[in-house]
Amino acid sequence: MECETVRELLGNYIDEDLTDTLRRAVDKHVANCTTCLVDLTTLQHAVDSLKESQEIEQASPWFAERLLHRLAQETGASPTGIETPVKDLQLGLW
Amino acid sequence: MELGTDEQLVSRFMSVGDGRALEALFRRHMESVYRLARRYFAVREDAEEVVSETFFRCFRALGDGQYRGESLFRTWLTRITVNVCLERLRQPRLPTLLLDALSETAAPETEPGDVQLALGKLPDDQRLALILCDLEGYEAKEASLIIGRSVTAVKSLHYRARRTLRDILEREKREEDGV
Repeated sequence: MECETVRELLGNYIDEDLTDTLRRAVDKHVANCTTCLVDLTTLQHAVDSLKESQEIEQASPWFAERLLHRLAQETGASPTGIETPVKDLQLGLW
Repeated sequence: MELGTDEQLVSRFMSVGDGRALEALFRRHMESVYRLARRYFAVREDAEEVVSETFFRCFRALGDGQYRGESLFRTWLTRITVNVCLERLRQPRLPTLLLDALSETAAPETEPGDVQLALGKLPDDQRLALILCDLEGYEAKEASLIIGRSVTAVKSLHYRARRTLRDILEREKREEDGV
């Protein structure tokens, strides 16, 4: 397998989305090709770092409820035809 | 009220105007819209504004009958979210872009900050591909509907995006190390 082909497969390799045959072929190639081995390890590191770096704090505690009220009021009053079914208040907002 | 699928809720709203269906859709998707917005904006309030604008657009469009079920509701909503994010990014002099905020606040030696800074330096389309495919877990097919390109193009974009991110991280590490 050529280096260029291996490089095109590295994304799928990292995602574990290769057939066993292709995975073994990539393994065999990188075991004998320092350039592709470095390409794989640095790419894997970047993807791992990306996935590990993305902790997201939650929205403000009252944000959802406030927005829901605004949506009920403003969307219901909009000229787009959405009607606010005032009689249907089982969930409290619409 | 039985909740059902997103598409059933949309249908319920569009056929009989049941606003509770909109509330159910909002509660089901608010967190994911917020999370996606935070991939672009470091400041919580900015992401919350994106969420507000996204749901206003979404519900108005539903009221206008613009959603025709050609894609999943989730896909359609994500596309609106991305559009709102990109429009907001293009507005001049907003001091709260992820990149700007991190430049001011993140310690340079922290790896998560380095990665987020690097992410902020990617071209818009590459960043979107990474956010959707690597962080939000979308398959290439659904990401292609959101981005508006073919599956092949999205895979290629994702491939390039990972390499660009890697190159930026490597370059910054070399600069840090004085190499």
